[in-house]
Amino acid sequence: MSGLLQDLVARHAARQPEATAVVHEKNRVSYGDLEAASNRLARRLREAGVRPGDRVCFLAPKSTLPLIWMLGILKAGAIHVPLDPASPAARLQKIIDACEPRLVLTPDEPFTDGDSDAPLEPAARPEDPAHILFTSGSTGVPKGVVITHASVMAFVEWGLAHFGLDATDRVSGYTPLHFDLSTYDIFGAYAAGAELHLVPPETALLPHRLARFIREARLTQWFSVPSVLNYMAKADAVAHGDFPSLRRIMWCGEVLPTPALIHWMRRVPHARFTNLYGPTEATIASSYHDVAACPESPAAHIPIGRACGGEELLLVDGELCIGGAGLSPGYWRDPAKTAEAFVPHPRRAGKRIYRTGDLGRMRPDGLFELVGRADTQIKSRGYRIELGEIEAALGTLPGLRESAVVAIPTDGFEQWLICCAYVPLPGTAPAPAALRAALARLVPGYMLPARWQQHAALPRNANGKVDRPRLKQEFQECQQASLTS
Amino acid sequence: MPASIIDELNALFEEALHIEVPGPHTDLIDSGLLDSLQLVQLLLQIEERMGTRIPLDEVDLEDLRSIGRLADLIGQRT
Repeated sequence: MSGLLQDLVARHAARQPEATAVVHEKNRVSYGDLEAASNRLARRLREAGVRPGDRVCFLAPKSTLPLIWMLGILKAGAIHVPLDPASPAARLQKIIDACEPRLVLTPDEPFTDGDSDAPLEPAARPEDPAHILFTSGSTGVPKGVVITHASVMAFVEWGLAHFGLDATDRVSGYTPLHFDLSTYDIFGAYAAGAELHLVPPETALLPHRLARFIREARLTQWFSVPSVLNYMAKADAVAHGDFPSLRRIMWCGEVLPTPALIHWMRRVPHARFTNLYGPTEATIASSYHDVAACPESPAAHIPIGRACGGEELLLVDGELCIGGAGLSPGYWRDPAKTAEAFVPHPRRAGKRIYRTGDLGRMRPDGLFELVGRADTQIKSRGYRIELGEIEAALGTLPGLRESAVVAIPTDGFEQWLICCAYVPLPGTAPAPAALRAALARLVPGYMLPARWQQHAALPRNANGKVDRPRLKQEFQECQQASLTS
Repeated sequence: MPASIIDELNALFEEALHIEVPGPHTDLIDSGLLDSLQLVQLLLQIEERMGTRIPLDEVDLEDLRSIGRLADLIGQRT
């Protein structure tokens, strides 16, 4: 074994070639077929000039095809870069420009027509990058987080042992492929020889339909951002004793509101519930907390727990920092941002830590808790959003003199409401719907403000900076007025 | 498709959801115009402004695909 992610599939393809690896709607791909198809692809990519270390982007709706691409790209020794099919073209262009791919695979040019199933010799080492995932950047340019084979493998091995995943498991594939949590769905399933059930994005629009999906696929594991669990709880989509096959429910990416957790733990008492925490920069998750008993109070605070195997959690001046096996080598071709976020370990010479920007504290029992954010990054429906990226995009729209974006907390399942205060250029009166439509060509849907307020001038503080706390307060007052009206 | 309901829905999308919908047949789901957050808002606004309750657990996604389909659904329920 070379310690590369593609080995996980090869191992099961040799042992149980007929076993199902991936299910998407009516489509099933076995381990044997996945292995053969990705070998063919790797050879085609080599013929097309793809060399070890090259980037290969892919753009397709969630299906079995991008999973074959992902594996074939790795087998060619290249780095895969999943593109979000729901993202506007202008933003995808920025990502493509940044990573300079040798190829961009699409369903029109899938490169799946190779004729030899024989595997190539491994062309990468475990410490080489496997993929680059782009996240929101505060200056308007998405940041590429480079993740190595070894980092993913370390989390997968910990996850397998901790959760007891095996070949009888049927795991959810809810998370889009350009988002880091999907890495565990995919490679965790492959490592166990389990079935990965891709959740069609449409299914997730309606909570009852999603519940039916979990029931009919007889999923044993659910892993997603908390907003989905919250959405299903609020819609009362889960019956008492529902999902009899479901053994574990894990969430990551933001805080699951405790009332939703209580709801789930009462409805699905036979499952194990685990809160995972960790940013993309430290690969999938860095800490875990198994919720042992249903919280008694809806006000109870659920800790992020303790470090996963091979990882380290530490506090530096109140900021949560992460060290260990999951640490990314840094941001793609951005040494300045890398040096800012990845700093020397305060106690271990030669080691690094990643500064998460999350504020935390340690409880007397040794478990870590989240307290808040040190900057203007928010999580909405699990998406990491830099408000600065939205402001930067707004700044390019004609018709606006200035604008400011703030986020206010809500008790809805989305957790944060993005609000935009704007000042039109003299003589113009752009409608919020028109601004939203123009902005939608620059940033993904989850970044679009839900509330818009036109101002004659933005409020400023004594230093001449936009008074964001005051804007927040104004939006909050509007929100309360609309809820009570 | 009842024209007055379509006008009302267009106004609702524009004013309450701040979404410009190109036409009554535009696919709201495939185009990415509606996500789960907006879908909940939409049903809430239809109930508030038009007095038609569409329970989330009874709705068929196909009925929400376009403003035209939605207008048909609301027409049937009122």
